[in-house]
Amino acid sequence: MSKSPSSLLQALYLNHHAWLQSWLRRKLGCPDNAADLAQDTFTRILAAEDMRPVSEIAEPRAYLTTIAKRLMVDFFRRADLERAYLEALSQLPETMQPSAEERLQTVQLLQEMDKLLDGLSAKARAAWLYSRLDGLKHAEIAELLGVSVPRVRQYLARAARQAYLMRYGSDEASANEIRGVRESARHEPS
Amino acid sequence: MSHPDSPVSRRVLDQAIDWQVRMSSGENTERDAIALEFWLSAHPDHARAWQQLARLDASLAPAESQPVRHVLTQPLKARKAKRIAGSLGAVLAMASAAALYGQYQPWSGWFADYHTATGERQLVVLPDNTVIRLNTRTAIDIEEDAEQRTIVLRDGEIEVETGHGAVENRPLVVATQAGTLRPLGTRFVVRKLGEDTALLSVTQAAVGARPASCSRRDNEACDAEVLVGEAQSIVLHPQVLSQPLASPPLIDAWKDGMLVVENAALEDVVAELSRYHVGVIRVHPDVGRLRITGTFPVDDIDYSIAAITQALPVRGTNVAGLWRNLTPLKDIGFAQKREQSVNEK
Repeated sequence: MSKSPSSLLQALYLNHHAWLQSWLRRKLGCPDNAADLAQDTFTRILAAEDMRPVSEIAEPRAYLTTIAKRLMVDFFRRADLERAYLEALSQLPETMQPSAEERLQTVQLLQEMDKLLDGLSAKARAAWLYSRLDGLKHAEIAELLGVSVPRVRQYLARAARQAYLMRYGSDEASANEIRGVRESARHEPS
Repeated sequence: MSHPDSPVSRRVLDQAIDWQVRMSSGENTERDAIALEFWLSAHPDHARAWQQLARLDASLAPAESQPVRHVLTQPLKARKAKRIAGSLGAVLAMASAAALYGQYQPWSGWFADYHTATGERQLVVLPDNTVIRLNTRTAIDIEEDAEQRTIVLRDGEIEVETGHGAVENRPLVVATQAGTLRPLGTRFVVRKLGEDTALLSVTQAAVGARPASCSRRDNEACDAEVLVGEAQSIVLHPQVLSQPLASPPLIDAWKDGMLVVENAALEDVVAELSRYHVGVIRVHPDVGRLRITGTFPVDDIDYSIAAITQALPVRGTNVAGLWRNLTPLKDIGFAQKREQSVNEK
């Protein structure tokens, strides 16, 4: 007898939620964050239902921890970004400080951009922003970064390729890993 | 008809990126513009790739704000990185900060080529007889290309003993987020301390160390490279290297399952032992700064705790084998306490 997806998800939740939460608590050492991330894990599974039906999950706990680990990586990365952003803001005069809501929004955007630029060196990131956002010439970027013009071109090509693969994925089946990241990025509430 | 978001082939993507780079060089000509028009009209995928790249630009808009750009173009600091600035006398203190940090740091070993769990050690031998020993909670990837072989230390601690096989003529490099190491026929220990700091201790011959802000390819010159000699240690940070200083004794004793400390604070010793142990060991603040010298088996936490309680006026309690406390001995007298605090100064 086949069960409906929602009752399967409910069963998954009832059978494993407490276990997942205590697993996360051990990893994180913080009950509040563990509860949030456990919740997010199930939300993520619900959102991915059409790509990965609950009925096809053979090893529920292995699957749950795989998703939860990915969320943990995001969670810590976000905390790092937020801290760095607040530090950068502390350099600004009080009148220029954004509201709490704007800050939250910016951290969200930062996280999305950080994912897009994941794995690129600080110089490659800087070169790309100088070129695409500020419209600087390659020679000007080379001077700012203290590198050669061919190196700037290398940075730009690398950055564009990286961001493209993150955003749109690759047409090759072997790029599942990247696509997985992209899919999960898509389900981020915006 | 393809969806505007579906990816193009690698070949078309490479061409589109070539075009984008060329058109943004500041040296592009009218001729380039005509050639681009021609390329764009040659196949619908070309135009799609071009538009997809243009849409990426839009997502960069938040970086117009200076603080946002700053965060995106600076390497992120580890939570405890500021403690790294001191001298190597504080290696154990840094290690304990890193161990603390490790408790809430994401374990990055899930997708690594080789990794060890808490308390595990593992031996990896490369075809040229280079031996890599993984300490507890360690993850490495081994990447090879035509020019070099790279051991990427993702987490934890490794010892590398370079091989002398004639089968291999590509140089070996150890890469961490903090910087890269170029061994010169040698043996050394590398340990990740925080998100972007690492400790290098050379136990034989010498190692060239360079911060991550230098090129990762060792065939490109980098002024910031420092040669670290035998019995010396150095802390790497993406922007800067510490001065080489004398290594603590027997920093590689873990490969024999031992921890050797000399006049170290109890809390630092316990933080070190905790790396090998799944449960939690808490040190009461009143005894954390007591000094201890000794050799402890890292795989036998009960023995190590017993050794500590014999050497110091502390008491070990054990809750279900998972939670251990080191607290002051109850019968410690007031006079003794005063004597201790005098000794510490």
